Amino acid sequence: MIPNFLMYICPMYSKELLKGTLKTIILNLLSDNGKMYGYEITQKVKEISDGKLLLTEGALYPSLHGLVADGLLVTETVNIGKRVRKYYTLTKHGNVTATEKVNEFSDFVTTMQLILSPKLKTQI
Amino acid sequence: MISLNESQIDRVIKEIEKQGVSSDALKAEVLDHACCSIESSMAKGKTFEKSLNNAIKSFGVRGLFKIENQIKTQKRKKGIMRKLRFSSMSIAACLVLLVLAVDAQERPEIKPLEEGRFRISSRYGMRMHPILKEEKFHRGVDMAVPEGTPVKVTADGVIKGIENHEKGFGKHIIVAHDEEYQTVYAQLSEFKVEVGQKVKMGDIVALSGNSGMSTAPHLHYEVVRNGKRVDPELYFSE
Repeated sequence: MIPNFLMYICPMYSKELLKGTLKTIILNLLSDNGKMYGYEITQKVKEISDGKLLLTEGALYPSLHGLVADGLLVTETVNIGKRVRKYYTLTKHGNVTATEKVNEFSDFVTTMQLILSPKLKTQI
Repeated sequence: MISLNESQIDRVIKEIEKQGVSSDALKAEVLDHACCSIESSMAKGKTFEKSLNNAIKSFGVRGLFKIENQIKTQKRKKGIMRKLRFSSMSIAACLVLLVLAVDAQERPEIKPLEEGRFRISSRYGMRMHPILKEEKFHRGVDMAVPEGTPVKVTADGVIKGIENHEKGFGKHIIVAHDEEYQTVYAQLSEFKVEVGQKVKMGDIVALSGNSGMSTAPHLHYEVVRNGKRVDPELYFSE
């Protein structure tokens, strides 16, 4: 059985490739957009990635709750009639972590490019 | 923009409850998620029933139940990790003590001030700096003691440096013991040795003071091992 946290993967990419990027995605989205609620996050990811990346509920919510427990996010609820909308925002610590994670990841991407196309390296 | 009516929302609630979620907070959050998803699907021309069906399906078989369990396990794991971290720290501390007990180098063995004449006013580690008013790592130990108290060198060695930094350590002495250890005595009032002089453990090298960046008379004492500041109190064997 595939663990839930791996199920946000769309057939576009392998689960090995995407494992470990979910927190970076969430933190960065919140850093760009301020407060967001769960459904909004899934839609935003779908929209930005042109449908190549689909966040499933089974991956998103455990991750969001984990980030709250880690002190990286805080929540705020707004009543909309019978419904309650739960917004997530970065804490100060979350903001710092978001920057760190994004920097780490872009650095990783650059390194991967070097490794995958060594020609680039010799050109520099 | 389609908005679900109350009876439709009730239907969604019923479906979610069938999935075996017990936490009210999660139920409410998932309800909003499902409603958003249904509304968006209905806006594309699908019927309410079809949209509801898809929304619930998107959570997977018993998906909500799994989500809730995963959140719970995560929390439990975090608790265990916290406990583990604590116990591994104690194990590490034991190992350090063990290594210290076995290691028979020229390492600091005694306290630089006579027992009973001082009070430890600030330990090694993170602390609020009394003058700069910000969290800083305190790399030594502060021993509050009246000015002019004799300061003893804590191991055999050679006086490596005698300096005066008014904006920092004030008058201070650096002693080299062996390749591994150095000790630093700071905020002094008077030096009793010269650079290059050999000293024996327990020799008086200076008188304590209140020089440099200091708020009250004290001795700032550091132990440097292989270039890194370590907790001096680990070397107080008496």
